[in-house]
Amino acid sequence: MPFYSPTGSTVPTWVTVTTPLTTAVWFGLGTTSTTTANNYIGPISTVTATTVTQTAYSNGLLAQQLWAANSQQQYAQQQYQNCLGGLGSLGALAAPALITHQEQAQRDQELYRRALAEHDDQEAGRLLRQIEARELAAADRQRLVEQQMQQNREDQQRRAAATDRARELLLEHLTPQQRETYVKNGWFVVEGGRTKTKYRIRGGTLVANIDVLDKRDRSMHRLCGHAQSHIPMGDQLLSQKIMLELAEDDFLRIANRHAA
Amino acid sequence: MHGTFNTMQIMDRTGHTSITWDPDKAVEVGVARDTFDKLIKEGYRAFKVEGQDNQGERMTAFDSKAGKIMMVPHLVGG
Repeated sequence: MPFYSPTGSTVPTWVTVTTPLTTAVWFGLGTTSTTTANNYIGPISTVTATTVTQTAYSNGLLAQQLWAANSQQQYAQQQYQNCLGGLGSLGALAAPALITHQEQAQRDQELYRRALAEHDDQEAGRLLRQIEARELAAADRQRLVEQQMQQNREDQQRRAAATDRARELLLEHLTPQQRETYVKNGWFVVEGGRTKTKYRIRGGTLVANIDVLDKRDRSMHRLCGHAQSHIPMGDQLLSQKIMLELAEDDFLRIANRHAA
Repeated sequence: MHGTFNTMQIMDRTGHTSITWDPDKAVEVGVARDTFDKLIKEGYRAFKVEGQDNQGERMTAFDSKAGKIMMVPHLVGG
């Protein structure tokens, strides 16, 4: 679908949201994904020409921007309906589920031309200012979205680098045998400092990721104890290893016990 | 351990942060001690470790000649 751009840019500047955002998304708690393609923002299921996909749940700011855009869009639609109500056949146009920037601009231009034809300079001037204001607001929104996406890209890069550093630190502190099983299978076995019980620490998840082993290396039950989630996986596993080896009783007091 | 570098490795959101100090240099020791105390207040546990099998012991006070200190973040049950 072509987009209208009064500045001659091939990049349109109108932002449209077709579905209301839930409260959960507003607070960044939801899992709604949004997609931007050629400056168009909509539910991922309705846009196929995806250039960049951004998950909104990780940060509420994008959700807030979309919510704001949605509110403005609804307001604008209402305004158009009010304006078009007195324009005969144009007023018969039902509000579409999705109004593109091109359609918005066409309606603005139609109203603007009518105002000029009717020598209503005041109304024409008002419409012109409205068009310009909308373009500026849309450009601001687009800038915010781009800034947010750039921020998210940088965050992802930082997280990836942190994950690598934590993994290096973990491998540095594993014995050759532990390193081998961790690299090959994603787990390693440590021995409790006091009880000499064997614990199998599994990577990949932090949910009850420690198997308490019997003499035949079968899991009797599981332990769940970890640092805050912003600590990368390698550091989490190393923390568990050090605690079990050097402060086993403390760890057993902290960790919750789960069935195998 | 005089004249040799000691290390404190802090597990944090960056993967880990390393602080090194020479026990003969008061300024460096001061920075390490302040960092140690701050992290302990935040809930970190400190361990003096030796070797890959983590032989060592828990520390409750800073020791400028510890060699290698691992700072483990506060853990909670899940």
